[in-house]
Amino acid sequence: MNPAAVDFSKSAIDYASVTAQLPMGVLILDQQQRVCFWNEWLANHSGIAAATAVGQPLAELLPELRSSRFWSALDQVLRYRLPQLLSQALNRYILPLRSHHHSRYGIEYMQQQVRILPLHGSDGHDYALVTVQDVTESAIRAKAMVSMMQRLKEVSLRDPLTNLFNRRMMWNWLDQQMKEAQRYNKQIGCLLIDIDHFKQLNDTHGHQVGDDVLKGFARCVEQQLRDADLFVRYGGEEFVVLLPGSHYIQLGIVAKRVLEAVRESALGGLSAGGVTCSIGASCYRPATPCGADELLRRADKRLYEAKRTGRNRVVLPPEPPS
Amino acid sequence: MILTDLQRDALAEMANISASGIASQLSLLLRDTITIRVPTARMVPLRWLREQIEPNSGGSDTGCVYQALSGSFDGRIYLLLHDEHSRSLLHALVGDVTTGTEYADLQAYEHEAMTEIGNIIISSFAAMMIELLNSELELSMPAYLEGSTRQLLFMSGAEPIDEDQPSVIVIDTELHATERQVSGSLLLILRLLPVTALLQRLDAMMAELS
Repeated sequence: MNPAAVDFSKSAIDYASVTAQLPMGVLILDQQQRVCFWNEWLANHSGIAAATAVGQPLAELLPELRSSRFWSALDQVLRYRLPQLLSQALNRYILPLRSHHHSRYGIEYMQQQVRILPLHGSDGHDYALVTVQDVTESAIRAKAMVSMMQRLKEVSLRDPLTNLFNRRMMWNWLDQQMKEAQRYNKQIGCLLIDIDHFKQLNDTHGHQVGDDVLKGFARCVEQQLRDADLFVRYGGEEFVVLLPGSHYIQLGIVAKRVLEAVRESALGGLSAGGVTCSIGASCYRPATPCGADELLRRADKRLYEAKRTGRNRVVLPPEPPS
Repeated sequence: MILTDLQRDALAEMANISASGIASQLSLLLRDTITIRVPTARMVPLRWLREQIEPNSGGSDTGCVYQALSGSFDGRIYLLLHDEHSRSLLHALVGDVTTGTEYADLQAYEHEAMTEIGNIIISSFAAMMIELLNSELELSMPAYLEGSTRQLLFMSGAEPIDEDQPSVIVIDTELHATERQVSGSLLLILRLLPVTALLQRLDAMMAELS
């Protein structure tokens, strides 16, 4: 017999056995939201047998099903016969079904894509057909991809030797923070720091020691800063510290603390005092705003002044009028 | 064919009534306070729509969600987030991790979210058409599509296209997410074949009310 000619409406296929084979949940609800059909997949994943489920109001069968989106979507289907999609992107957990990925990924509940469709029964009544697809694996994949992208983004904004942020991050940060400083009338302090005689140190002790000094210097200065401050390797042996919300006096305190901490630390295997630094400071003030380039240029000018007058010192901006 | 003032007001009012339900559903779903500006309705030619949408798409295809409509009216209802602001709104609502990414999985994630948001908006409006126009309607499952305005709106290809003939009903509004502080415009487009069936129902509804 030609298979295309088979009339399935008259065939002996048991459609309940078809839904039992489907790798998804299938349930049918009547106008009173009572379960009329509950397939084997749902029984396996919920631990509730079809014999128990059928005839029960869904809200009583699954009291943990509190998704307001699910109930309003079901209402749209039963009242107006308008099909509804509940995506995993916007609904993390819909039906309270346990995930098999719990032990490996810590995801307790299955992430789902749910469709609710109108169904017209041969008895003349309208029903809602609910299908539940397990999309936990694709959610895990998407999560892993997002975390990978974040890591890549992070890597592209960091200096590989010291793991400090790089210039690209600094310009992005300044662009954002200067707008906020302007809006909320806050200052931003800027320290441009240069390790004294670094070339000489490199030539005398070798590049490995030079690298260790840079790494040690980064850790030492980092300890003097707040979480909100941004610490950047600006290039070579030059570093920038940006201090949001810091005014003239705080800027001076932090700069001197950094200077002393570096002087008193044994960095890169050298004895304490073997490494010193010079610091030029500038301050962004909303009352007299300037661009990011100008903020750095002013700090650079004072760094040059600190170098010219003997190094191992801080040159601060002029004290603002009180 | 153009809409009379009364037909235009009636369509805008139907959209306005459904907007409050849409706003409360989206507020719960997106965990934000969503408000929707009072919509306006008009009947426009395809050319007008292309001029509105295509310069804002930056040369790329427009994305939309559609649901096929049958019963008292045949055709399709589309939801378009058609310009930069509306796309920013979607990114803000869904999470900005997918912005600018080339990863197909993440774009699919965003399209899926847009499909559900489109489904909520389209079916709420369709429910209002059933209620107020006393009509029988069936909708297909929502689908996400990308293409040119012409491809999206005239997919069947069977009918002759006169780009200057008003043939599409456009309901436009703006959605605002209070906590995220973003707004974007939405276009709900009714492409009905023929559109006269809807207009007759609108006239009948207004005759009953007067």
